[in-house]
Amino acid sequence: MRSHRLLEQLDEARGLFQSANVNEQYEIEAIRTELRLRGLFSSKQIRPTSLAYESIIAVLFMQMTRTGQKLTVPPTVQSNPHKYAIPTALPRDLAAAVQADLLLLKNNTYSSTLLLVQLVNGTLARVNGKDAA
Amino acid sequence: MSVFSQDSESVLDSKNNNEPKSFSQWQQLRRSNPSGMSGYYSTKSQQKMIADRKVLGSAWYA
Repeated sequence: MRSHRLLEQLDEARGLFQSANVNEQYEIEAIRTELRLRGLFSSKQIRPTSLAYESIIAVLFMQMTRTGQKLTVPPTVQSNPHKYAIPTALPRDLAAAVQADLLLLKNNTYSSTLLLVQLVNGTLARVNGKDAA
Repeated sequence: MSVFSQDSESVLDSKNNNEPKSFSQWQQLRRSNPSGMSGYYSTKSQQKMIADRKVLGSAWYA
């Protein structure tokens, strides 16, 4: 099943988030904030689980810009993400990322745009440009 | 007379509570006070952080 790869990508991002060192945590927090500023993660009530989810998505987007990896989300997963152990907010946030011109959607596959690359690189440069710790 | 030799720059300093905080100040709060009603991960703090980012623009990272 094609969603298997999506689960692997999410697991990989989760692992990177959970093992992030101090500086990487700064980077993740900065990217997470920038994504929220652009309309992702729109839930007003913020919970620890949603913050973990947001951080994992931030890592996933960073990975997409660095490695060029793409996300394929089959229509069945889009409409029933919980049945495939995919975060239920993911389809909505991917759509928000497309709306914000951060991702390009073609044939159920999301790829990073130049704007996302610039956002990630620019944010990381700002975070690492000084002694943030 | 303060016991400190210079003014505190703590994000918890009541004198600075209404001033927009920078990214590094917010990260300082994340490490010192992550949970609870006024902790970094509270809804109120997260909303204030986004508001500060909007107010300060790219200077948020300065």
